[in-house]
Amino acid sequence: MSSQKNIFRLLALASLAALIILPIFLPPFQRYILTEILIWGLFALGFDIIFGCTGLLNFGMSSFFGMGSYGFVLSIVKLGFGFWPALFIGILTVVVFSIVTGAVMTRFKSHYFIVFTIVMSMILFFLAMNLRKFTGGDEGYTILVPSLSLGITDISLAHPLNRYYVILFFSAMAFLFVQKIFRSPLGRAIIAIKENEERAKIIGYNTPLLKLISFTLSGTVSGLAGILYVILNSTTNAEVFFWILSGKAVMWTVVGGLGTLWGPFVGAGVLVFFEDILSSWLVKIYPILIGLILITVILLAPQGIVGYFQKIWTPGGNGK
Amino acid sequence: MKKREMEATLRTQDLTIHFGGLTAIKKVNFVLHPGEIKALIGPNGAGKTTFFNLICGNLKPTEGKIFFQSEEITGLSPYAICRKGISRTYQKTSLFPNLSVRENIRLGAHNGFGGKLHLFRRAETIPMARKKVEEIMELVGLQEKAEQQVLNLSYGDQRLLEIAIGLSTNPQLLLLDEPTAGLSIAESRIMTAKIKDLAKRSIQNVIIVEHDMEVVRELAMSICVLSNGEILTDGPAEEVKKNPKVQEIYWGIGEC
Amino acid sequence: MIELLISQAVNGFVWGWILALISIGLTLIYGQLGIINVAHGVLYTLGAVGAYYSFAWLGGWGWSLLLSPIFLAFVGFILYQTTIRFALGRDPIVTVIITYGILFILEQMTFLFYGGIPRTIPNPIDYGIPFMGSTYPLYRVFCAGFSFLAIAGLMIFLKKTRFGLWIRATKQDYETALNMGIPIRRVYLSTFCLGAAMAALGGVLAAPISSVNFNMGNNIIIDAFIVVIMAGFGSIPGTIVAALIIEIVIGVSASFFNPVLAKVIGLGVMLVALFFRPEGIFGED
Repeated sequence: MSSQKNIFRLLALASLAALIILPIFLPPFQRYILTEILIWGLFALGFDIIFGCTGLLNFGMSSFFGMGSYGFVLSIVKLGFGFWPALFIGILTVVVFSIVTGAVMTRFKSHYFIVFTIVMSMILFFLAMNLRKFTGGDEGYTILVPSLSLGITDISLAHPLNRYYVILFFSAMAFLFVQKIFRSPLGRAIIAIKENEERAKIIGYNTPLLKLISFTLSGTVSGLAGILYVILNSTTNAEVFFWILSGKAVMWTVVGGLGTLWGPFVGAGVLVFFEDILSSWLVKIYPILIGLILITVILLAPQGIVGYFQKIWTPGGNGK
Repeated sequence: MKKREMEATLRTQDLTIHFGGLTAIKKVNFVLHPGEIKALIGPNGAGKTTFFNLICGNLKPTEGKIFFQSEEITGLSPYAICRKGISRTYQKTSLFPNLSVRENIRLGAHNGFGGKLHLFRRAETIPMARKKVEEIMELVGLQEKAEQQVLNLSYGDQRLLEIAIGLSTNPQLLLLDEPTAGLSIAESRIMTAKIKDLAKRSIQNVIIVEHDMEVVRELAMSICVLSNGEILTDGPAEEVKKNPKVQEIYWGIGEC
Repeated sequence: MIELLISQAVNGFVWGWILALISIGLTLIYGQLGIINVAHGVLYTLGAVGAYYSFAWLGGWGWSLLLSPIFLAFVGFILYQTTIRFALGRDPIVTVIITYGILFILEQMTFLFYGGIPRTIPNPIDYGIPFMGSTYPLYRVFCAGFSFLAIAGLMIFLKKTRFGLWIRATKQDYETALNMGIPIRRVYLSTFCLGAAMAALGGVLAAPISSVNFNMGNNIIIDAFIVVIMAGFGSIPGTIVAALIIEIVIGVSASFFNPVLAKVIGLGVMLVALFFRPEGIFGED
């Protein structure tokens, strides 16, 4: 029990160390993949929060990703903002969007919540494609991301290594924040909702408010990933709203391990890695291999990769 | 209003609820006095669980009012009613299946003993709740299994945990919905003894829905008989048992 | 203007029947096997691809009305035996991942075989019905009619035949069906193949109207899911009504606005409808 915790803690520290040191030695393509994994892992973390930890199946995470990226990009392109103000606006956009849509959507029962999330993201997709003057349509915007000013010095985001460390910083901070929340009474209350919403209400938890908080947190995390995506690629377009991206968040999280918070990163890591590596070697058949990997992994480990290891290291089964 | 009624722990006034064409609860005027353990009995479908759902805020009455310790609680949401001091258990065990026994109790204890929804403190480290969780686990006898996942508990232990969660929010009124449902005779006796014990020690006000007349005999000071959504009779246990109408409608089912 | 409105509404009506075919297949699979078939769109695509090859190799689109569903039933058989039966009884979200994997595999295989270029099939019934001053393609009317007949045939099959009874019984009460000696595995297999065949039929009918593209399923699958959820899982009449509503609304909106905006309005209307009737139209939950 506590030895499992220690093993995990050791793994976490080792991973962090590797993430900090490794990129200096990695060739550019591999470093790019690693950066991508951080971003997609964060994006999928948003899904893990709302589904893995709260029990609400949001099949429209691309809405938040798109809102975040556009909030960031538009404040640079249209308002001429610098890095920090743009980041602030980007996050604020997602937070407001999440609160407004969440207040409506969390009232619905499961099936109808799911449909709402899908429809919302598709409405945003079609709107973004249509309002070309505002969003740039499927071409979107390619921007020069302003450098990050830290008072004494400026970090230019032109160099890929700088971009990597900035992205690592934000995603790690976000992850630690989320982890801390789910160890706190607030987070535990949210998990209780997933376990038994009826009982959670009866023992005194304001479940509608808690669901809204979780929804907002989930959206903000995925929205932040959208912003980091722009930092990495200097571009965004209307296609980020398409439902296929939402599906990927589901895929990465379930394969990695629902409700584990690490799962999204592990799942994204494994699948994005395979996709990027295989797509350059076996261009013609790599989606087939990805499909086979997906099916095999989920049949062997339906609780996900992280879930699988959690299970075999604690034979008695352990509550969270 | 009589002085005695003003002091009632729980009082309903013409409580009524319609479900479409069906009237499940019909102008019920229920009273629970301070320190009373009252059994709520009646044939299946009489409305006992509906009554509990109304008290706890799961259902909103169509007509009528509910008063708890002289304060009106009609129409409040379930979590607000819990904070006022009412708690319930379920006939069909309703736990947090993937969490540990300790966590199941801690969740309620956190609310019952003044915890706020801290964002950054580790949940387990809040001292007040921690102590109470230990106490409650000992009270029901589950302290050995504190870290076990609830899924893996035996049915009897799950029923005990059911009560423990009911206690966890530090209630002044506890509604028990068939606590011995599905238990063997031996387990039933243990459960009844435990309930008697905690009714004496911590919670003085209990309403218990039961079909098992042994348990009713053991615990109930007064009995309220519900039939077709209306109160047939309500009074001290001995009197109610002798009531011929009750014997006719209901007593044929249990033993006397 | 009125003519445009009405012809758009009729177009929507036609598409609604095609969408109903696909959605019914989806709801059959979920209702019976508990599997959320994300790959359903690819089955639709394969039906349309079958229609193309029927036209290109066999000289007539019409053969595919029979051949595509049979082919997809066979594909369904293979999928069931190799993968789907291991997905039974699992958490719904797990079935999503499994069918996701199937989607990747089948879509890429389609791409490799059929190629990435969209191709069109000429109108099989090159005749126009006189309608409000101009003509309306008879083929589209045929689509709606054929789809109606297929669905009616399905409902008759379910209600009046012994196997249909088995399908309904298994769905209603697995335990009892098992105890009554109903061959559950055959029922599951058949239901899955039936669902696949219906998606294929939708693809065949759609092929001459839209173009045949290896990923044409990606757009229709979302609509199908929305229809299924809006209709309340498991209700065939409800599915038809929902499909008709959404397509007619989109069609009518397209006469005022551009097609993209029309889609937005269609989705918006559904959101509103769900808001007022969250149980779905003939919902069973």
